[in-house]
Amino acid sequence: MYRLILAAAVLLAAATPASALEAGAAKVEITPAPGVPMNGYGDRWGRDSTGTHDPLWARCVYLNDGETSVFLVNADLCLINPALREKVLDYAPKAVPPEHIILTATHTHNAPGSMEPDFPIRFVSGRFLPELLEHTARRIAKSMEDALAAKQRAAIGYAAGEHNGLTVNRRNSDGPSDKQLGVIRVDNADGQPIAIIANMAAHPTSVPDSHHYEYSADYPGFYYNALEAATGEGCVALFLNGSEGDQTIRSPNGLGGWDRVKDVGESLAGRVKAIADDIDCVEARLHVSYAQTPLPLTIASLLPRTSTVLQTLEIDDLLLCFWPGEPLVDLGLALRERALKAGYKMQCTIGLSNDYQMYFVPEPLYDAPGYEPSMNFFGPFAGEYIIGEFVRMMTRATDRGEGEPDELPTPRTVAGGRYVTLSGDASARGFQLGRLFADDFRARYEQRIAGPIEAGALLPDSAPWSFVPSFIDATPMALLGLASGARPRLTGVSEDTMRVMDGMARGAGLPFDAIWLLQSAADLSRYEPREDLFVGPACTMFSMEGERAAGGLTIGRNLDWPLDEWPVITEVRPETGLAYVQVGFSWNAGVFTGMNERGVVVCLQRLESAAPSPWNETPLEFALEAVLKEARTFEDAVTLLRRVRASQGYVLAAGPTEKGGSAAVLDYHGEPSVHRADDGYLPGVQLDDGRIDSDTRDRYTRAEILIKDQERVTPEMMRDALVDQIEGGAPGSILRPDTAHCVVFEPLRGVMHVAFPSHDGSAVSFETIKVFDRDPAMLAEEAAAR
Amino acid sequence: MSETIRSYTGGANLRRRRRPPVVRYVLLFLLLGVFSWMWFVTRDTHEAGELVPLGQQYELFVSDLLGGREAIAGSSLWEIAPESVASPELREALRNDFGIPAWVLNNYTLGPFHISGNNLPSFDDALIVSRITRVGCLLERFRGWSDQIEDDFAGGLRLRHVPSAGIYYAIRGRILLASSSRKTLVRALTLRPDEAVGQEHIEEAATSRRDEIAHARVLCAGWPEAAAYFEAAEARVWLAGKESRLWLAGRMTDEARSRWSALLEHARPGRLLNPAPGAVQLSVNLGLSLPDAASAAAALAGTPNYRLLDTLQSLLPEESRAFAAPVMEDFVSHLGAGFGVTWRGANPLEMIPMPKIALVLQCDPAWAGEWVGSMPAVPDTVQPWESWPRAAEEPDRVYIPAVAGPDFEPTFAPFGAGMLLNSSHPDALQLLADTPEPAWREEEGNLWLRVEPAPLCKDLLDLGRELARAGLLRDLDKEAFDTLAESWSGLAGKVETVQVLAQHEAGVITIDLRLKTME
Repeated sequence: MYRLILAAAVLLAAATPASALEAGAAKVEITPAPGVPMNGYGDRWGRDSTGTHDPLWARCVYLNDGETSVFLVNADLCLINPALREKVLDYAPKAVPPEHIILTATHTHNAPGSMEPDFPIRFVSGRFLPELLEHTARRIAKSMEDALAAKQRAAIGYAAGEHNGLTVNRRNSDGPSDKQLGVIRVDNADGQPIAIIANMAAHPTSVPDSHHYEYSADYPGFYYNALEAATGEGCVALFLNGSEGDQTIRSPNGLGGWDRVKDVGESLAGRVKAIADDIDCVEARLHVSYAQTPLPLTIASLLPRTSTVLQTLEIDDLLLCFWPGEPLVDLGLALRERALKAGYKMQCTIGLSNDYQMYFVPEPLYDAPGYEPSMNFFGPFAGEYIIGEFVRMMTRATDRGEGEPDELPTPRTVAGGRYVTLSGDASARGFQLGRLFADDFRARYEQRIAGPIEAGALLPDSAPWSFVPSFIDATPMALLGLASGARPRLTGVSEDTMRVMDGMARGAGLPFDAIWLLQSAADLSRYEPREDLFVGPACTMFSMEGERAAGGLTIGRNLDWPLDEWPVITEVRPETGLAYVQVGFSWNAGVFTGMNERGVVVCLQRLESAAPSPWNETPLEFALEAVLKEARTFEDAVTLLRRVRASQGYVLAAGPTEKGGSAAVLDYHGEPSVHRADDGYLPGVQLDDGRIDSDTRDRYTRAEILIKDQERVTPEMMRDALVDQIEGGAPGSILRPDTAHCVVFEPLRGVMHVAFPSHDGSAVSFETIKVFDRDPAMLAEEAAAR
Repeated sequence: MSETIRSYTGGANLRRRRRPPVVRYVLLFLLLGVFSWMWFVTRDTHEAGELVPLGQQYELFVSDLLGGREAIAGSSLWEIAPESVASPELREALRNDFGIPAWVLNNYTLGPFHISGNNLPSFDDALIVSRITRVGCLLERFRGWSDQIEDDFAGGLRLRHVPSAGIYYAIRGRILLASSSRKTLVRALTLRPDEAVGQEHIEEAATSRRDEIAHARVLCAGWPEAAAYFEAAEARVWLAGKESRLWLAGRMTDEARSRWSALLEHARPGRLLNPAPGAVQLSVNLGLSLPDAASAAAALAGTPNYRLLDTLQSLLPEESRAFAAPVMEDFVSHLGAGFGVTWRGANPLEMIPMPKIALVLQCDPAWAGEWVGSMPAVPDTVQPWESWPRAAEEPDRVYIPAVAGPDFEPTFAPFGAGMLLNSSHPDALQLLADTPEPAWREEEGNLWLRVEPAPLCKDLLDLGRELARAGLLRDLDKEAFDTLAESWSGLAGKVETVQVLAQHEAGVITIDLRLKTME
């Protein structure tokens, strides 16, 4: 019996994984001698440090649960760059696999730079000093060696408290902030703390200007000292910064200068101590996930890396996510929400970990002015993408998201162009389009943006561009500047459309900013003296309604667009909102010409002869896209369009009404004025508008003869009018050499007639497309019911 | 037995040895005739000077082209010249006498080649005139029977045409005339005495030789590109193993002299400052101070009324302008004629990859010491990193913190015959610690330039590599740059130094270029 019990005990012991937690902690000073450049502020211009205010440290905790070992390092540095990580891994003790070594920086802006081999980044980090990189890496590795050497039986616990107002949103004091103060406590077998780790989100950019060039750990330095003083010998205080992109500190006592820094550091230590004191430490299970994750494409080709390191550390129900950059707090909170939803009891995001890929801002802030959005180089959904990748790494997550759509719609040929039906969510629809027409997207981008930039055609004539010597290719910088300058134009673009463009970017293998610049190419060219690149659309459009229209309502529309394009008819079936068809090109995310499933039609004409819209104004075509998705009747469309503000342009809106169908033209010059049909006929522009040029006036005068003066207008007559050419090429021809498409809409029948003129002299042939199978009577009834 | 004088007549054998007198005379006459003919046909009936037209736009005297072929083939210029100009095959042909027996080749040269013509720079009417030996004359007679050579009667001028080479030639006495232009050759053969340069001209050229391998004179009127600046030019070339030398002289046109007068009117050979040592050293003395030279150069470039001082003062930070502007004005007003510039190296790891440049500005050394020593203390309100002139720890040094690291800190110190202004503080300290070289160069002139291509190339490639890695070099990604760097390094490694001494005097600009290749 005794033997049986012994054998059972041995078997039980063998079956149960070893769970004796070991831990060790150490700190090693890493302060270099003065005389090396500092990181963090561009205004230092790479100048050298002049002294040390307080020392900088590498602090390390070693944890090993018998199966998983990990080094968790926090260094008083501005960031961890790949060169430093690589060097540290070279020298790190081999007891822990490289994928389990977690390097974080507190982000103090008073730490040395000089560890960045890539020249463009040296503008902030200063000249590259290989010997400093070597020194720092060896010192960090030393902290690991010391922590490993100090390992002992240990227990660990954690708790999330509140920091009680130590941080605030630095861009908007009422803006979001992370109130959580995460604390991890590691005790030895005697119950004495050997390490206490705090996680709070706030920029360490608090050193007074008078010490701008001195080393300092900033408020974490005061925190270390105060906490270690409070816990006594043998406890190492660590600080892991959080989603601090837009967060800074707030002195609880309203102090300034060094007093403020000290106040926050010591208050933080006090809060951490209070929370840590209530933590019960146990023998926990550890799990580390490591991923070398591809980054979204960026237009900032000066950033040399295409992938980054993501790590998570799970300690029982605690999830730590190590983010390789500076996420804004909204992203950290969103990630926490996902983690808690997945079943974790506590989550902390640790920014500035393992790599540095600048800022990550949430989509609504992508077009906002300010430093953080301008330093977000991977598109408006990069933060969301990183969150998704973290979710994939969570052992408890069940919803790991979907990949890209496997199946693509098959385009069919219509009127010489392509007709494609898109379905799914906005991102999937964009992806389908981008993947289907990837070659076209890339060719247009090269032709209209990258090519002209490289040739200098779009570069400003002023300094500093004028000083760039000819052997320097300013394209990487110029593209970055151009993309940044185009961001404010996104202000009026809906999130749905942003997702469409993001999908396009992924599908086409281009950065988001490239897709947006492509949308803006027509306007871009108009702001340069070198306007030969191309000009915006001239266009002709008119409608006939009432008894004089054979179908109750007929709209004719030519889009004049001088560049060679792939004509594409896109049928969009969004998950929310109305389905619509737009006639345009492969790449355009807005709408120039379109009709939705309720028969609402919108067509855009910009006024080339008027002053260009301000560069930061959202292009009008993006408002039309929203109208098509939302407007169920003509009145809805007009109501929505009245809310839009634009400097110039005309929009023709038409659709079913109580009495059948009606049309209106909205003339934009700030608040739009609305023009209605006169005796059934409505031209796209007002002939008495002093801003229109003679060519436009001639075309519309010709349209009056062909349409307005007819007793009854059939769709066939509309088609003939759209392809009208005056012999000898005299002014007034409605079909211009640059007409990209001609469309006649019969909204009440859900029909459109489309032609893509070939410009080789051959006859223009229309193809009739039944867009939506809606009974016009029902449409009318619906309108009447409203 | 009596002593009888016996007389024997020869038998049949004796009779065979006897030559009939007639045959002997015929042979003798034949030999005499042949020698006379040879003497006659190779007699020196013409002089080169009779056959060279007067007023040719260019003349090139090559002292002994074929005799000097070994020296030419041995020149290390072949190592660095592009293959399109100096192909290895041509060099090999020179070394192997073009596959022709040396004695044949040697008989085609006797004295210098004279090459002249009018069409510049196409040289398609070049007339080559050279003396040949009697044997050469005879060889030429026999070569005339070759099927490669066609006779061109040319109204009795008896030209010869080598279609495969595109050359017409003729022999007059022991003078060989050749040209690719038949018209040129015909004209040379039909010159009246007053249309020819005359033998004195040829002899004068021969006596003005300075052991060069070639000597050229050019009247620039027919060469529009050159005529805009020069009336006439002269060039001499020496080749000697790893050293090559090109000497050029050009007489400026009145219009060019007038146009460049602001820059050159004070320029005559003078003392040149010895620049700091480095891969590129330039010393300039145009008889103008640096600010005046800058104004003159700007005026030439179409910017009249330019003042260097204004530019320098505009670069001053606003906060230090009140202090620094008068200091700078005082500094500039003390500068003398002459300055030196040196490429001291590069720091590719700086915030912006940058070279280290040392300027030596000629001024009164005593004043330079006073100026540096009298720099006022930095005001308390100025932060240590702000751009404000400040005395270095070492005596007689002033530096100005700028941006980036110490290689971006302009540093002033008395140096040689003036003031040192070095873009790099550490480099300035290094330079001042090194053994000083003489303040002035031995040679006089207006411009002296010395380049060591290998270290310069290394610096440039180190700088360029940083830009290429960041994708900032036009049409050169990292891989393309590395390929280019390899070829540049290879070429630069073949040249030890390039040195130029230029001077201007009374409208004549002289340039003496010396190139030394590696062993």
